[in-house]
Amino acid sequence: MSRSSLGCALVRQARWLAVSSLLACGGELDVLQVCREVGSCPPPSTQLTFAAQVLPSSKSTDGQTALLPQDHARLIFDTQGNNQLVLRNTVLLTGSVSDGSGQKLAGARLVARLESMAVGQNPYLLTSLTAEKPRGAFALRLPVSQEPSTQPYRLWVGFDDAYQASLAPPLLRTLVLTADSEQILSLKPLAELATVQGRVLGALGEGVSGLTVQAIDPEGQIVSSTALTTSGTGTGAGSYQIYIDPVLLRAGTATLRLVVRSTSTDQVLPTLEADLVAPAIGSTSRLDFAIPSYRKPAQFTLPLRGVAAGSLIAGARVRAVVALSDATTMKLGHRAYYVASGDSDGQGLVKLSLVPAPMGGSNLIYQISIASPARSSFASISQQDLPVGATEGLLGAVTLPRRAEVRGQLLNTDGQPMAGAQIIASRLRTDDLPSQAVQFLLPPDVPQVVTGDSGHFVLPLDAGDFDLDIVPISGAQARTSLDNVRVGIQDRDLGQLVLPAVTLGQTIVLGPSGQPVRDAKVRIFQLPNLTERPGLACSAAWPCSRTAKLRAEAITDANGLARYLLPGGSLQER
Amino acid sequence: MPSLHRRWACALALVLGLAQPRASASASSLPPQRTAVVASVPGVSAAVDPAGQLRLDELVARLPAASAAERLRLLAGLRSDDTRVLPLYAERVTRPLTSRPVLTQRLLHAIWAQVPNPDYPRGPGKDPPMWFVRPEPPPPPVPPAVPGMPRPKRVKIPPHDPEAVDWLTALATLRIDEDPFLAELRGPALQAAHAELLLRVALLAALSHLGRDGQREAILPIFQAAFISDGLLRDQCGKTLRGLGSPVIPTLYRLYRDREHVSFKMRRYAAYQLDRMDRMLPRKALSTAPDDRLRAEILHVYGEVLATEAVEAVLELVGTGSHRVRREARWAWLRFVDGPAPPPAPKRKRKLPGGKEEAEEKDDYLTYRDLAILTLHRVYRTLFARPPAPAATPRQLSDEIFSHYDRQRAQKFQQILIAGQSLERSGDLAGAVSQYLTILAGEPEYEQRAALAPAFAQHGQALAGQAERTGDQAILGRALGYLRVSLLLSPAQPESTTLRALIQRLDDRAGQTLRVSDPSARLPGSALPARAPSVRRGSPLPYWVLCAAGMVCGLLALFMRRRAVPPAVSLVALSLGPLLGLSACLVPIPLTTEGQSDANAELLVLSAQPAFGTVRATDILDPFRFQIDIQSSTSNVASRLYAQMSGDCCDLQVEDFNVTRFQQHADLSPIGTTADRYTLDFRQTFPPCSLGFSGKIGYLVPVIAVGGFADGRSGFRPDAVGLVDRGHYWTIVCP
Repeated sequence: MSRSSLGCALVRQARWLAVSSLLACGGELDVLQVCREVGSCPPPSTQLTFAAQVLPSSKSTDGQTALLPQDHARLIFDTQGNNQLVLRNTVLLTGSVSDGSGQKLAGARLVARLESMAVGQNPYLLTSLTAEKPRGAFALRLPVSQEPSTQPYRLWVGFDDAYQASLAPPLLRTLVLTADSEQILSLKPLAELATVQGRVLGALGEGVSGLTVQAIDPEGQIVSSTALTTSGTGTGAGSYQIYIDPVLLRAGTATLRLVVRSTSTDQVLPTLEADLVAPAIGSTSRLDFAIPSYRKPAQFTLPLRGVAAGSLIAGARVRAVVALSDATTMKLGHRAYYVASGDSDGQGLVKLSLVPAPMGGSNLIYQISIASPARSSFASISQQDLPVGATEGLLGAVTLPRRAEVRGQLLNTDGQPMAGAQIIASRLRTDDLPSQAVQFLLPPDVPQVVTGDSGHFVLPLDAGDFDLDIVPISGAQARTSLDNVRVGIQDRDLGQLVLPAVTLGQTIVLGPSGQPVRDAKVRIFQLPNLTERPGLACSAAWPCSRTAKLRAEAITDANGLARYLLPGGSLQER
Repeated sequence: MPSLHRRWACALALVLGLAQPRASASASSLPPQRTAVVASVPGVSAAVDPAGQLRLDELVARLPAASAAERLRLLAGLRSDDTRVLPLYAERVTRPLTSRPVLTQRLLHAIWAQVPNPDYPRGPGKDPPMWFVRPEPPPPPVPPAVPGMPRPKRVKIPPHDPEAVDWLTALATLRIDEDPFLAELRGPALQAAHAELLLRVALLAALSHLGRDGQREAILPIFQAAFISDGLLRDQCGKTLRGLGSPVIPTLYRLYRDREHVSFKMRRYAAYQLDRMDRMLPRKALSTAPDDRLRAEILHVYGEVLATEAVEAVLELVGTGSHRVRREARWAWLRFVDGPAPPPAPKRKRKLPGGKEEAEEKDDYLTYRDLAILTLHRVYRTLFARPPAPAATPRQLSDEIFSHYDRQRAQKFQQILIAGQSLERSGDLAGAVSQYLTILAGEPEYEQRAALAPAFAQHGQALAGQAERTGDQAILGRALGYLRVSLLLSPAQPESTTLRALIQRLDDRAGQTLRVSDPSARLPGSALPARAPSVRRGSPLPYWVLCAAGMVCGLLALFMRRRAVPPAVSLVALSLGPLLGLSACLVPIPLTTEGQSDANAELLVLSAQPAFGTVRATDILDPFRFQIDIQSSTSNVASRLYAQMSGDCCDLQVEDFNVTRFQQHADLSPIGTTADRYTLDFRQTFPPCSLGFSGKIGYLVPVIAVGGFADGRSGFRPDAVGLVDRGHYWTIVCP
C-alpha cells in the first residue's frame, strides 16, 4: 500500500480529517492490479454459485430509514461481470408484550434473529426492549429476508432482569415478514406451563442461594424460566421454581437437562445436572439437588510437553472436568461436574484450580481437554484422563503427540510460485456433538501460515477434516479454497496447488428507492458444492464443508460500485 | 506489585540470564512419603526448562571467581517479582546438595551457623546434641597479675549466636582461601560446595521475597528445603518461614494436621515453626492475621482439618463484621457441629485411689464435636441469658446465634441508613450514596437494599445528564456504574425499564465515543525512521481518565479491603467498573518500550460484525464470529481478542486466567478495491457464553495494534507496538 505521491499523501491526510469522504487515490490499482487492463479479466464463472452480503455503513439511509445489513442468496453476473443488488425494504415490527394475565410488560428483551444464507456467518440479530410508556410496546425495524417463507425470522422474548426471567420461560415465535406488522405477544399463563420445583442443598445440608437453575433441551436451547435459588435461612433457603414451556420442545424429546450452576466468581461450585422426563402441560414435579462434599479447590500445576524431548507447550488452553459425587448426590440421582480452565505459560505450565482428592482416598480422575496453539507442532488432545491426588502441587506432565504436517506448494495461474499467500485451515463444522459436551470441550485454534518465496507451505494440523482457505496477496489472485482435506496422524503432501484463473466482478448496490449506496461493505461468498462424492466428500464417512466461503470483500464507492476479484474455478491439484 | 516494577525485576533477571524459569521437579528427589506433600501423582516429575537450569549452573560457575560484592550483586539478581521463576527456584532449592556433607557443614560452621544432628536423639554419644555447632575458641588468657594492682579479670566474650547469622552475607563474604578454619579442606571441591550453598541460600531469599509478595506457592518449597541433605539448610529455612509471618500459617497448619501424607518429623517441624512464631494458638493466629482474606483462609483451614483447638476461636468470629471472615467462620463452625462425625474417643475405666476402678468407662478426651457443643451452650447462655432448649440441635442453636448477630448488624446498618436517607432528603445524593455503599460493603445482601436503589438511580441520572452536557467520559462511566448498581439493588423497581434503556443508550455511546483515530487523539508524527520500534497508547484520554479511574479504584480497593466484601458487592463492584471511568474500556496495556514514534501510522476502527456494544445470546451455545473493519495507513496491523471473565471491562489482566483469557489472534485482510481499508477477522466461530463468564455479562475486548504485538504472531499478550486501540468492545449478555 505504499504511496509516494505527495498529492496522494496530502489527500490521505485530508481524508483522516474527513473520514467519510473516502477518496480512492490509486488504491484500486493496487488491489485489482491483475485486472488493471480493461478487459483483461473475464467475468465470474457461471459454474460457481455466489451469494452476497451487504453491510451498509451506519450512516447510510434511504430517505429517513436507516439501511440494514442483508444478504442475497444468488448473484447473477452479466457477460461483462456486472451485477446489481437492490437492497430490500425494511419492515417495522411493532406490538406489545404482556404476561399470562394480560398485564403489559416493560423491560422485556426482544431479539429478532435471521439466519444468514451464507452458512457459517453470524445471524442478523436486532434487539429492542419493551417500553414503559406505552407500557409493553416495542418497535423494531428489520430487513426483509430474500425468501421470507423459507427464511423466517425467529423472535425471542426474554428478560435481562433476573427476577422477570424467573417468572416466565422465553417466548419464541417464527415470523414471516414481508410488510410492516404488529405482533401482540403474550407470555403463557401458568396453566399452560409445567412447573419444576426443588431445593439445592450444600454439603452440610444448608440451602445454597444465588444459583441459576434452567432446563435445557437436547439442542442446547433453554426452554424454561431462569430461576435463582432463594436466600435466607431455614428450610426455604436454596429453593427454586422454574416454569417449562413444553411447546418449545421438539417433537419426540423425551428428556431435558436441568442445570444448576453458580454465577459468581467468589464461589467455586460445581455444575449440577439432572435428567428430567419431558413434563406435561400443567404438571408439577420436584427435583432436589445436593452439592456433593468436596475439598476446597487448590492450585495445581500441570506441565505440558511435546513428545519430542525438551519441548514445552506454551499458550495451550486446558479445560479439566471431574464428576463429583457422594452419597447424597447418588441418592438424588444427579450429576455434579467441576470445571477448571487454564492456559500454559512460557514454560509450558498450566495453573489449574482443582478439587483435590479426599485425604486418604483415591485420586480423582479428571477429564482434560487440551487445545494446542495453532502454531505448535504438537497436537491437541480432545480428552484424556488426569489423576489428581490429595495435595496441591505439581501434577504429572501431559505429553502431546506430534501433529501431522500438511505440505504443499501454491502456484499462480501461470504456474509460478505464489509467495505471501495466507493458508488458513478451518475445521469442518460437525453437528453431531452432544450439546452438553460442547461446554466441556475447547474450540481448537485456527491454524494459518503464509507461503514462502517458493510458494511452499507447511501447516501443522490436528487429525480431522479441514477446509484450507487460500488468501493470496491482495490484487494478485482471487481467494479460493481447497475443501474437505482429511488429515490423519501421518504427514500429508498436497503437491502443487494451482490457483484458478482470476475473474472480475462488479456490483452496484442500490437502495430500495434506487439511489446508489456508498460506503457499504459487500462480501461475496462462494456456496459449497454439496454433491455427494463417495469416498471424497459429502457422504456418511466423508463429511463435506457446508460453510459458505468468503471470496471477496469490497467497499462501494460514491456510485455504489464495488469491484472485486473472484476465482474462475476450483483449485487444481497437480 | 505494579507491573512496571515487575517488568524491571524481570528485565534485571533477564540481564542476569535468569528470567527464564523451568518447570518444577521438586518432588523427584524426595523420599516417597515426602513426595506426597508436593506431588499429587508421586514419582512424576515436571517438565524442566534446560535453559533456566543452565543459567543457574552458569551463575554457580561464576561465583567462585567473583568478589564478595560481585557475588552479592549476582545473587541479588535472583530476587524477582516475576512469578514465572517460582517453579525453577522451587525445583532447585529442593534438590539435594551434590557437594559432600563434610564440606557444606564445614562452610556453615565457618560462618558460625549451625546444622542439625541427623541422628538425634540416637547419637552420637550418650547425650547427643540436637544441633552441631562450631566450638567456641578458647578465651584469651588472663594477663598475669601485677603486685599492687587488682587481679585482672578474664575478658568474657559472648558466644556466637547461630540464629543471628545472616547466611547470605556471611557466605558471600567468606574468604575460603584465607580462613584457617577451612584450611584442611581447601580446594576446588570446597569452592564448588561454597558456590552451591550460596545459590541455595540466595534462592531461599528469593522465594521468601516472592512469598512476601503474596505468592503462597513459595512457602512449600522453603519448607521442603528444610529436609534435604539431612536438613542442612533447616535453620535458614526456619528463619525464612518465620520471617514471612502470618501468610505461612495455612500451609504450615495443613502440613501439621495431615497425618496421611506428611511424615511425623515434618509435622513436628511445622508445629515447631508455628509455635516459635507464636501462631500455634488459633486465637493468636487469627487476631494477628494482617487482613481479612488471610483470616478467612486460616479459618477455612481450621474448618477443613477440624482443629479441636480452634473451636472457641471460630465461634467468636461467626458474628464479625467482615463478610468474608464471617462466612468462613460460619462454614467452619457448622463443620464442627454438623459436619462429619469425629472418630469416637477411646474409653476406659479410670483408676481410683486405693487401686479400684470406676464402674463405667469414660472418654479419654473430648472430641471437637463435644467441645463445640459445650462451647455453643456456653455462648448461647451468655447471649440469651437462658439455657438452650433441650430439644434443640446444635445446628439450630448455631442458626439462632447467627441470626442474633445478624440482627445486631442490621441495627447498626439501620443507623447508617437513616443518616443516608437524611442526606438524600436534603438533596445530597452523593453523600447518601456514599453512606449506602458502606452498608453494602458490610452486608451485600442487605434486606432493605431495594430502598437504596432510587438514590443510586437519581445520582446516576444526574451524572448522565452532566456527562451528556460536557461529553466527559469519566462522568459517563460513573453514571453508568450507579445506574447498574441501582438495577442490581432493585431489579423490579418502577423505573427499571427507563434505567435499562438509559444504560443501553449510554453503553452504546461509551462504546462509540472513544476512537483512537479521532484526529485530536493522534500524536504528532516524528522524524524518526519509519521502522523505529514504538509503543504508545493511542488515545489521549487514557492518561487522565485512567488516573481518575485508578484513584477511585484505589479508594474502592481500600474501602473493600477494610470491609471485606464478597458476592453481591462483588457484583456491585463489577458494575462499578464503568463507574470507575472504565466504561470506555481503557486497557492499561503494559508497555515494553516507551513511545518514540508511531511512524505516522493511523488507525481508525470503522465498524464490527456483530456491531460493537451489546450482543445478546439467546442460548449458551449461540456461536459468533467476530470481525472488525478498520482503516489504516499501514498493512502491518494485528489484533487479539480477549475475554474479560470477571465482568469489569476492560482492565486486561493476562496474568490471571480467571480475569482475562486470550481467545484469538487476527491478521489483516484487505477489503477489495478501497485503499487503506482492512478486515480483522477472528476466524474461529465460538459460543462466547460457554466461556464461563461470572454472571450473565462478560466482555470481549479486541486490542488492535498498528505495528503488531511485542511477542510476535505466536504470542498472546496485549503488549503492542505502534498505535493501539482498545476503545471498542462487545458486551456479551448470556441467558
